[in-house]
Amino acid sequence: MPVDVEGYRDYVGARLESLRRTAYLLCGDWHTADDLVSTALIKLLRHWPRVSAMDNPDAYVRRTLLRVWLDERRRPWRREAAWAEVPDQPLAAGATEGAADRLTILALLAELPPRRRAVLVLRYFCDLSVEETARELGCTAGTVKSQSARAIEALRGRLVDLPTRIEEVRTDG
Amino acid sequence: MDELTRHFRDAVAGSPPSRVDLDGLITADRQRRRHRALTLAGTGVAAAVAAVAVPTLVAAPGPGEMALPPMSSGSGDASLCAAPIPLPSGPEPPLATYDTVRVRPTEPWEVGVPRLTAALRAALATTVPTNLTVTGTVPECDRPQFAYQPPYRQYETIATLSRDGRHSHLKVAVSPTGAEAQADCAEAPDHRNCEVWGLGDDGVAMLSTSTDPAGGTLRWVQLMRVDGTSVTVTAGNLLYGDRGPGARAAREALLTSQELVELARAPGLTLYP
Repeated sequence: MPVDVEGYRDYVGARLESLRRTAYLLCGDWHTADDLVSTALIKLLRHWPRVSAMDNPDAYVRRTLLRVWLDERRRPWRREAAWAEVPDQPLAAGATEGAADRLTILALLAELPPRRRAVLVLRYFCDLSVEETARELGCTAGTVKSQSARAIEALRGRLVDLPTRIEEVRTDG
Repeated sequence: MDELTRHFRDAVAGSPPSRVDLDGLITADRQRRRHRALTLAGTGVAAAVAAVAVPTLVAAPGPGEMALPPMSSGSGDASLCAAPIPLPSGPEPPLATYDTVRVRPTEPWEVGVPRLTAALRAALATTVPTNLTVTGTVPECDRPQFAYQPPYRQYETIATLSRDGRHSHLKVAVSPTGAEAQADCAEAPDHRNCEVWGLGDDGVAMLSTSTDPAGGTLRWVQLMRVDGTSVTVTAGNLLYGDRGPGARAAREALLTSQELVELARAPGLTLYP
């Protein structure tokens, strides 16, 4: 079956940044994120005639990206911890505050088990409902709710401090 | 949890330029599809050949011989001699390069040789008169068999026709039809004395006969098959190989032009089975 390459190109062009950012939140590294997105896009292209006829191709692409990321994590060279230790405090004030916050949220995400991390990213970055998240992860809505609650509980202690610290820095600056 | 959403968006706000090469992905996928199509086509041909050849090869009749695939025309006793493969004494001629009317066949010569040999033997059995014997020119091998000629990318065989102690030769060559080839008798030994016959679904045949004052005769037939195969059959009273001290050339070619055409039209003599 011929592939509608132009349709594929238009579709991907409109969603590439969103996919890269989702992948980045999942893996915590832009280079790996681009690799994950590339792999997912290759898979998408192979099935594009079928996927393009779906009601919601975005869901298929996200599911593919999630699977690619989970597969990639299982590779031996990915088993080393990307974050040995989560910083307790922002690394520096002033000009580096944004980077410090970014590193902190990524480090916190990296501490979570993969599926909990995926739940948070899908729910709070991709703005999916509990039911949509459950469909994409292939689990029940109850599982999404419980995983989400545990993930937020794990982050709560340090996450609630962040706005305070940012405010302190701004006040100081 | 709007706060979490905001943190996520802040974290991805400064995204670096993308390294995703969309055009590269599309090109790679196109190449993969092409390679896959070629591989599948090759696998299909190989599987079809193996399905025919393997059962017969397993039942090989004896040492030094290799059984041939059975032919639908009824030549079930064909066997292939272990023909010597001469080593080149010098640099080999360059590979014949010319465009063909059809993509060159992908069949390995190890498969093509027994298949074409079986087809030729079946055709000889039905075409050659019963008072005429056909023997191969390969030493210690009395039946004709094809050999593959890599520089010319064609299959060729030479056999000896014998009747009443007189001999003639028969040569059959199978090759891809060149893209520039026309049914114009350009390769005929005497292009001024050449006929062109339309053979319908079998293609176009060219027939030419050349004689010389010393009594030499050469009958030449070339069939340009519709499927892109050219079959050239010649018979003449010039002898090839060592036929012994008492060998004598026949007064004529021992096969008529009509019989050469029938040989060339044999169903199995094609490079695209």
